[in-house]
Amino acid sequence: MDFKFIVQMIPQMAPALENTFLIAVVSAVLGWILGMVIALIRTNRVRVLARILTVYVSFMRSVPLIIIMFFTYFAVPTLIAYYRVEHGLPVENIAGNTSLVCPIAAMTLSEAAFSSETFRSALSAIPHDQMEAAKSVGMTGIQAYFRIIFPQAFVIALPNMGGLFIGLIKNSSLAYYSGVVEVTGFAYTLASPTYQFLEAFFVIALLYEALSFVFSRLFRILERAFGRYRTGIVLQ
Amino acid sequence: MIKIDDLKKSFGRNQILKGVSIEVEQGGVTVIIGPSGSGKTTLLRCIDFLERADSGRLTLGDITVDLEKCHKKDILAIRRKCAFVFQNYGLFQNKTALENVMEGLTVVQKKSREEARRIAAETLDWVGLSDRMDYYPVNLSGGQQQRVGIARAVALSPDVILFDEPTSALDPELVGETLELIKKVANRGITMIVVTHEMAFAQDVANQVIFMDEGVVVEAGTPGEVFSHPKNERTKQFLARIIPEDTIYYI
Repeated sequence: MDFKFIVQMIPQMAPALENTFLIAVVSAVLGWILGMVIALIRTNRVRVLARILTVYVSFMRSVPLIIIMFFTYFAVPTLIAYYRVEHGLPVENIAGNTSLVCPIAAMTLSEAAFSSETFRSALSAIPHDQMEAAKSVGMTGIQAYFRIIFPQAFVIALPNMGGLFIGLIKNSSLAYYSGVVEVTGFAYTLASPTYQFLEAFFVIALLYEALSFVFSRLFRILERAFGRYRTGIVLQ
Repeated sequence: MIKIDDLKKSFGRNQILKGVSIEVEQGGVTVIIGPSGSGKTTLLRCIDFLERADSGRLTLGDITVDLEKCHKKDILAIRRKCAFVFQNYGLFQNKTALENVMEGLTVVQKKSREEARRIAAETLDWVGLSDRMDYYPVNLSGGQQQRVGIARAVALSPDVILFDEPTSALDPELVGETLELIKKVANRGITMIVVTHEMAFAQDVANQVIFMDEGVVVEAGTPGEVFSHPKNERTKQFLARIIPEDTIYYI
């Protein structure tokens, strides 16, 4: 082990770490909002839409994320280029775009599918009488969802959301294939010239572990804060 | 005050209510009795639109709606004139006792938080729970939860409160005190429709008793008429089974 290499490596990691974070957080926020919408449409059995989304969720969950990423990074830009040239559509050429857009788009689409199942199970875990009670005091459906159903479903979904978020941090390493230098890509590039892969990957493995630890702690704290009504601690 | 006309409701092929018509006067207590599966609870739930009736008409105060094709607006308007007390309490699990009572006052009736808090605290005090206001439902006993449920209904000052077997889920020793409380609600002059199996309570508190069987109203009248001088054979059979001879009291 070349400890000098490790010591030199750590301070240079900041921009890569920032990319990893950005990808994970942005796809979490966007993906979870979409996932919630999908879950609501499916639990309320909105006619055609629910069917379409069922297929979407099943598709996104069975296709490896890397393929979805190749799709947003290679296939979509090719399509765009084709329509630009052949049909003169006024869209920007995004081929070879190494910004975060492509991986975030792919991960958001995948996260929407996975999280929708988490949210769907959380929604179905809320006893039916909660909605009925809300209606009986005169609330509208939207009021009932935001004041009674969502706060309870959120607490049930939190442990799984923590797992999903850690999954996002890990999966963000695939963004390396669309030219984004995040933590894994950075380690690979730094180690390549001198073949110091052992040191480089050892460091980032520890880094992923540390991130995972911090975030599972964070979600545990959230769980406790929002789930007080379940454990029955009396508020003074 | 409340008038239901020819209400019909089926679940799939099973017709639960086969044209029910009842009338409830202002300030009166109507008790609905009958064997299980006779449609009592479904009737009550149809009034509050927790279940959609297939056809019929409902009049509540100055609103009359055709149950087959009524708009969301009408449903909301009627729900806001009614309050419901559930068999299994139906308290909002993520809210304290006080918040349970406040919720409808702030969110639906748009009262200020201070005013809602004052009303909620007064009502909880009235049902005897002034020392449990900040407890979540998980920390309350069944009897306490049902008292919160009743307080939540009363605090809304609705035109009518619908009680769906309010004591059926309670321990026998808690039934009495909960019935006492419901009697106290009746004494405030609030119009009530109560589905119950507590015959003594029906005799004691009701102005009108409705006996239902197999989706129809078999007999309706004062407690004296229905309990002491039932006209219909089915009513007689039901009462004979449910009340031992010597406990019927005659008026």
